[in-house]
Amino acid sequence: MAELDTGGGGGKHKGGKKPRGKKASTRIDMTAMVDLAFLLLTFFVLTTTISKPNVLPVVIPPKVDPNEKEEVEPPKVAESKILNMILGANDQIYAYVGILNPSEGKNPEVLTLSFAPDKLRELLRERQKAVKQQFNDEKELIVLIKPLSSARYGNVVDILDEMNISEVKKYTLAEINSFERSEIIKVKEPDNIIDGPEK
Amino acid sequence: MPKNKIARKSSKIDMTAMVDLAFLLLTFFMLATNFKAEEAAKVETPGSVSDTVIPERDIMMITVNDSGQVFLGIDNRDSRVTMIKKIASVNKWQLTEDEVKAFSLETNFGMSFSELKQWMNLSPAEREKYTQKGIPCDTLINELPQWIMQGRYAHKEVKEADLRLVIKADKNTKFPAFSNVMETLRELRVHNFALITTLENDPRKSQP
Repeated sequence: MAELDTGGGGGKHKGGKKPRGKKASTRIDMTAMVDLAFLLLTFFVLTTTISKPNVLPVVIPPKVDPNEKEEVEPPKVAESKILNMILGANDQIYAYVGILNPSEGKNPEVLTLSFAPDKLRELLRERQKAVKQQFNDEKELIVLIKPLSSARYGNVVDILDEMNISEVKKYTLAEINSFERSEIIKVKEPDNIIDGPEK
Repeated sequence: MPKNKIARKSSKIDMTAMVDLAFLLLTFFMLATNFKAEEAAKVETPGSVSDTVIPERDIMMITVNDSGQVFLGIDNRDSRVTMIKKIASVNKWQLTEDEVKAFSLETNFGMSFSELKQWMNLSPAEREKYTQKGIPCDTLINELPQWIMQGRYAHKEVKEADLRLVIKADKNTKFPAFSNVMETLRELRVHNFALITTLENDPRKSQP
């Protein structure tokens, strides 16, 4: 089959002339080599990892040292800038604006959303507009993401991703507070009532 | 009478060019290949639009599978050797060279300290079959900080480079499992890390 033909192989002698010394053929049978080459090629093609995984860079805030706590006053933020998103079981999001505190008569409407991107983006867009109207800068919107222990890690990544897509500049992972527990979790997810530390 | 023989065509094909090409490709793939590290856990990563690519080297990867088991891996083998030696000296274990070697061959591992010692006593064939249970990482027993710290020291010693932390978690992992790992990192003052995701289409780009 595969042979290198360099011509002038060992020819047959015509007639009865003196037999010359036989020239060795320069044709090499490459079949086996080719087989091996393709075998190795297939192996490397199949084992090689062409695409490297992508990463989502995350920066988390440092832990507040209890000794320094008194010196650093938490910044005061306008309530209307805040959008709370509680991530619950079965891919549900409970979202509300501002602060929930029934004892002070603060009872914002709690929306239940799914992770369908259009609804979520619409809400973020709407809040960005409202914040822009009030503070003249849509980057002022602050989103607090509060995953319950019933939430999946995928939900958290999805919501972080949604922040990138909607270009929300200020967002953080937070824990739910006692009002959220008593007002939202108790109603929506009674099984999860033990969730989160008392704040 | 002249015989009219039909000229038989040779069934020999000149394969030289094909062989050249085959070897060219073979050489390319051999040099470009980067073997997939053996995974201790099967993980389905969530999607995101982030197109940042994982750094080439100096990676410490924390894998969390869907049942919340934690696995750890460093890409450099020498660092793994130094790491296990450091862990052994901190915990006052006597390890033989064979045991160190067996450990360093695991690119990803997930075992508690007590489990690890039992695992080292197994034969190579038994080790292969052994299902690792994950590094304990919760509020009761947390062995992850020690591994991360010694791993970072080891890598600093061996490669004189800082390890970059990467978390690879399954999208069905419950949040607390991931949260425990994140809090551990926060305790260790590692505030910068990355989550491995699968690339998704960016809706901003598809819209004109």
